Parts: sequence; C-alpha cells; structure tokens
Amino acid sequence: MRSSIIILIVALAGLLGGASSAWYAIQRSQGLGAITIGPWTATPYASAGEVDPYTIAKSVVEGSVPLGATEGLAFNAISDSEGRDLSLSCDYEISGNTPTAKLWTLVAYRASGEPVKPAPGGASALYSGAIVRFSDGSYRISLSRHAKPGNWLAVSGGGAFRLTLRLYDTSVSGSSQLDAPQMPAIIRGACR
Amino acid sequence: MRWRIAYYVLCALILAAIVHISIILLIPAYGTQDAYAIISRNTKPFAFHQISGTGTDALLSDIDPFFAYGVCRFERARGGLFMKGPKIDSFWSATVLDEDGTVIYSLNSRTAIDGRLDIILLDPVDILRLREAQPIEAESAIVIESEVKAGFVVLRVLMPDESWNERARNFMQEVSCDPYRPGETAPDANGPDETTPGQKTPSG
Repeated sequence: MRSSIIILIVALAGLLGGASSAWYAIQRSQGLGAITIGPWTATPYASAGEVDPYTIAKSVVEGSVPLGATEGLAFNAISDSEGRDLSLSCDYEISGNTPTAKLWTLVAYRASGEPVKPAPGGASALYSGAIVRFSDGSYRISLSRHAKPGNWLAVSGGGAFRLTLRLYDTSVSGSSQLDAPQMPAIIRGACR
Repeated sequence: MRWRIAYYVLCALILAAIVHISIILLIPAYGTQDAYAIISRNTKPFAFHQISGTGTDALLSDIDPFFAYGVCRFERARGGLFMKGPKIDSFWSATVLDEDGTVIYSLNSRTAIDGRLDIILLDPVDILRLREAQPIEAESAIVIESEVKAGFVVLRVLMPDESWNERARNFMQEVSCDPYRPGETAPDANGPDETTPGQKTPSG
C-alpha cells in the first residue's frame, strides 16, 4: 500500500516536472542556437537541418513564421537593459546602433502577439528609413504613452509588452559574424 | 531511508526528463495551431492569398506592420511549384517553408535574379526532367531542389508608408503560384506514346 503511493507520487512528480519544464522552455527560452545581445535575443535559421527542436516547437506553438536566413533576423526583447520586464506604464529610451542591414523595423507587441495600440498622433512601429539620426549614424527612440520630440514610439494602455527589432537583408545571420554585435540599449525612464 | 528518498527523487527526475524530451519532439507532429495548419485550413493549394492586416482571424501571427504579406500553399502530389511575380522597387522577401514551419529556402529582392520573384521548387526526380527538357522558363528562375511533400511560401513586401499600399497590393495581385511539371511544357522531348507516372493529374 505504502509503496504504491510512493510510486504514484514519483510518477506524478515526473510527469508534472517534465510537462512544466517543457512549457517553460517553449515560453521563455529562445532555443539553443539563440544569440543574446544585452536584452535582445534572436534565433537565426541557419538551415533546415540545423534548427534545434526547441525553436521548432516554439514556432509550432506560436504559429509564427520565422524569417529565413536570407530575409533577415528578428530580435526580441522582453526586458530592459537592466533585466526588468518591459511595462507600458514606463517610459523607455532605445538608443545606440543596429547591425548593418538594408532596413529594419521596430515594433511594440502585446503579450498576445498583436501590435500595441498607438497613442493618438503616433505609431507603435518605426521604420529605419524614417528615423532621425545623430551625425554618427546612431539614434535615440523614446517609447512613451505621451508625445515626445524626435523619434517617438507611441504606445498606449498598460501591462507587459515586448519589442521586436527585425533586421532585413542583414549580414548577421550566422553566429560567426557576431563577434562585435551592436544592438541598442533599452533604458527605463519614469514610470507612472 | 535517506538513500531511498534520493532514489525516488532520481526516478522522478529521469521520468521528468523523458516527458520533457517527448513533449518537445512530439509538438511538431501533433500541433494544430502552427502556421501550416492554419493556412491549410483556410486556403486552397496553388492559389496566392493576400493576408490583410493583423486581425484575430489573420493567417499569420507575428506580423510586421510595415510589410504586406501573401501566402501560397503547395502540395507535392500536384507537382512542383512555379511562383512568379512582377518587378517592384520596394524591398521584398520570400521564404519557402515545409509543413513543420522549417525554412527550406529564402530569398530577397537583392539576392533574386534581376530583382524578380521567379522560383521553381522541384523534387530531385523532376530536377532531372528539368535538366533534360531545359524549358525557357527555367533559365531566369531560381530552381530549388527539395523533397518536401507539402509546404507554403510566405511573401513579404515592404510598405514604408501609406503611399506604398496601393503598389504593394498591385504587386501581390500579379503574383502567380502554379503547379509545375517540367516535362509537360517542353516540346516533345520524349516520344508521344511515352507516359511518365508523374504526368497523371489527380482529381480534386
């Protein structure tokens, strides 16, 4: 009697542990072949044979279509440069430089996967061709619910969000070219 | 007693590892919400579909608002895939994916021949036929060899601002996505009574 209870407990613990760790791996981790630069993470699709099973499982669960290696590379950030989760009630400054690419877009998404609704008069997505830059080519983007001068990534609402920076037609696709990667920093400002 | 507990914990851990690995590996086979499953439920094969906006009924998640999207599904049973589009100044890119959503091939407007979308996807046997027949359409096309049974192509066209919406839509409307068999269009390379099993066209 006692031994069967123990077997039951061990079996339950194993099932729960396996299922929850698999869920966690899909939800939070970015795959084994992921590139991490500061708060940004990307999973390059080198070729069909080299994709790790976590990345495939993640794209099946999310129903997402990855960018092919020749198309570009998508970087995601769910936290700021100090590791705090991104929240729509805070202001952020995204500044620095991006790796060489023909173009890039920066979009704020809700946790559900839809783009964040923009604040009136602004847009919750920015395109590299319409960015005001400093003379050295770097830029500063202000993410806020309130109007900002310069590059304004206008958001509204509250709660968690994620930033996706997609580099199109970029040389950054294999891990070998990432010796000196440059991605913008995400600095948290005032929270209301 | 202590050893017994350690033994039980070890058993639970091994079981957890087995469960973890099987879940991760079985998801692609049993998932029903992946991009291919959603696309195959909502579109016909060998027909190019434009995807509008980012509603809840959108066929693709993870949409970049600066891009117009289109998809075309293909099935090996009906032949290879021949996809062609007109010239456009805007940046575009295309990805060929299999049923699991794994990228088979990708290209963009810079890597394409003459900046045009012009691809032929064939299995190795049809590649041999193509080499034999050497049809005119294969000269300008990028020929991709793959053994996938089914899959889809996602086409993305950049729309930097609203003035591009019209042009992107016109471009998308002219994209063709057809089944392709290299032997058929070639002027009798084989004898007229020679029928190859690949030339049967299945109904439906």
